[in-house]
Amino acid sequence: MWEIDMTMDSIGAYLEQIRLLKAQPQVNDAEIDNVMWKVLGLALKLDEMHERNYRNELERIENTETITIREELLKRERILELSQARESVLNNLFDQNIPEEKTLFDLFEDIRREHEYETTFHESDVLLVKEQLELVEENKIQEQLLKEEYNNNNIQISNIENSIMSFEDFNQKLNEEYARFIEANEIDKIDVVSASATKLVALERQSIVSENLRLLETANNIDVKSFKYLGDRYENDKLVIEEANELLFMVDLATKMREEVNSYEELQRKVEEINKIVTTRENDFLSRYPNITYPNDFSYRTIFFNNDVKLVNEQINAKANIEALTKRNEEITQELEVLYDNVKGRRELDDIINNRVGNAEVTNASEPIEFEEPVIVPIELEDEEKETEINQEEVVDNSNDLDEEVLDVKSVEKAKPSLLAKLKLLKFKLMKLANLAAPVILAGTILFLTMTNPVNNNNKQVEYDIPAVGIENQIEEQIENDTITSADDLLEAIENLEQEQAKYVQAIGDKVSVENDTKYYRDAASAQLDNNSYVTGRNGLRAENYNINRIAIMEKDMLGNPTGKILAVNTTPGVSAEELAQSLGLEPDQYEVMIHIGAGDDNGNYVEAPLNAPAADDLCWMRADSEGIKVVTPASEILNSGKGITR
Amino acid sequence: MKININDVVTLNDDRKFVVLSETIYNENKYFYLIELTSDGEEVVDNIKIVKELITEDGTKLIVVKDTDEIDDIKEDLVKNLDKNDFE
Repeated sequence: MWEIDMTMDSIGAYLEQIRLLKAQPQVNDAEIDNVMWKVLGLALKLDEMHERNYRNELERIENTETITIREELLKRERILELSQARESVLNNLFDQNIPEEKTLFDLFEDIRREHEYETTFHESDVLLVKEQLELVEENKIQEQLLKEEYNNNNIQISNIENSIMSFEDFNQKLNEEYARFIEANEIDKIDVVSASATKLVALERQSIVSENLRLLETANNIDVKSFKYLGDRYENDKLVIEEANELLFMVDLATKMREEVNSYEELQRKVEEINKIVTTRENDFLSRYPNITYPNDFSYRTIFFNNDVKLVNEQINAKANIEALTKRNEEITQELEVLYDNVKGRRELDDIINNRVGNAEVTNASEPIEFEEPVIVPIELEDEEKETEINQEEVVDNSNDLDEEVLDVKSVEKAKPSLLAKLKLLKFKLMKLANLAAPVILAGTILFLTMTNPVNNNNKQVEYDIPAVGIENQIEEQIENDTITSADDLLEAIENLEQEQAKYVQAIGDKVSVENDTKYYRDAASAQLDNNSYVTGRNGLRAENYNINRIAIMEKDMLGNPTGKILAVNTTPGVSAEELAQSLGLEPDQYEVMIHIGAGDDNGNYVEAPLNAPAADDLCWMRADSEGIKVVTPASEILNSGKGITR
Repeated sequence: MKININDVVTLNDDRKFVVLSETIYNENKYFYLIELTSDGEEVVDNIKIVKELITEDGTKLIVVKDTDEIDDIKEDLVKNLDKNDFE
């Protein structure tokens, strides 16, 4: 911890120094640049220390045993906090409002992004565990609802079972109810003949009164008031007719109620007809007296007989209803059994978070992999004039052949310096080869390395930790896709290699044309990492001829990825990037070249840039291999002519 | 015979290998070798990962063919090779 504090203090002091240096009457850019390099180194060291602490703490927390999902959530939240704390270090280290610190801040963009990605992963882990807890809560509610429904269904089943009656018993009960209705309404005492006659008389009288009222409307010289009783009489007859209708309806209803039936089906038809009769009667009455209040005697009567229909239907459907409720309860039982299946258990969560393969997948993965006919790949080597055949089947067989091959050592001696120098040149390739999957290593040739790593620099990703399962397929694919199958292919590979080297033919002092849409950057590191780019024709720099006044050799890691680290910067006119790289003992695939361009003097002539001191126009770093850059006049030509170069 | 990094190992059949890097895993010493021409001046396109076995008859090198074993040690071998300045 004290190391981190000390490094932080040092960075703070250096940053303060930069601010003070900038405030000097005569700003020394070289000195500022120097301090910035120190800060960069310390910041990288600081990040390493935090990274180490983070990994240790992460491992410790990951190894903590958890039993419940809630404990797992707490664990995941602690990891997330840890990751966020680590992420915040580089986010808060530099003040982006200060240009120099902004430059340093930008250099760490890739690292910050990695931290950010990792935090995102931890966030998704936390969400996954949280989701399980929420699912448990939702499922508990669902479980309660299902259990309530299950109990209610049982009560209903019990009620139906208790209410089931034989047809005879039910019919007798209904008949008794009808008898009480007939008795209560004194239907048997109704004189049908008298009621019919009363109705007919009232209808006749009403017809005459209606005609008289019509005549009254057109009569002259008559006292209308003296015929006022005609209206009252008409209304009175209406009531008489209604009462007679009701009496006659009740008689008809009683007749229907007394109909004999012999089964539930017949009874169902009977009660439905009765229900229809009373409903129609109610509707007729309501149409004549729409203002009558509800409920009324007619509506009560309709409800009464409608209930009989329900009772009969319940008896008829009792068995089916019990079956439906029983089936529903079976479904509920099944739902309850699988209710928590969508919730991942603690172990399952652990497997998902750590990308562990499930048992089923392991079973599939362990199935034997079938290979097609062996692919024999002849390779012609122009230099050594030898032909090598790599038999894929042999490679695969080798990986499975565990018979020991024992080499007896006769003597051991120190290698000669000349041999060591040769090995030094091969070191990079040997490292890459050893990094490949085991079966590829077993093939045992550097030539194979060339095949599996195409010369094209952009594709030079060496894979670490290739899963054991599927390696054979991978080799098959690599051979299919990348194998040099003939002398032509080998020549093509050599040409590619030459092109690779030819990318960096630019020399300091070259006059180059820069086309529109060419990216340029604030510094060489940004150019290599493609951070914060500008574009000619859009961001200020115009497409025209410029002079290369600096060349920076940038490091690539052993996987061929850019690191943003400057290995060397040169400003000497005539020095090419390739020469500079060679002087550093670098292989073509170990570095990249960034060039700095300047407008030159008033006549556009090359002006030598001071080493390590930025020029006024120090913004225009470009990748030497940018397509938009073409050498117009090589520095050698300009130097030989003695014109066009000023100091 | 103790074998070290940058040593040239000559086998009974007169084949020569140079030791590029070494590592210890599960109490065994492993070497990353590349073959040399018979005069020991040039590199031959053949690499091997071997396990050291010291017996009464002398030092023997067992060629590692188990892919899992290679996967276990290759990272350390690469790291140690990276540290080898060949001096």
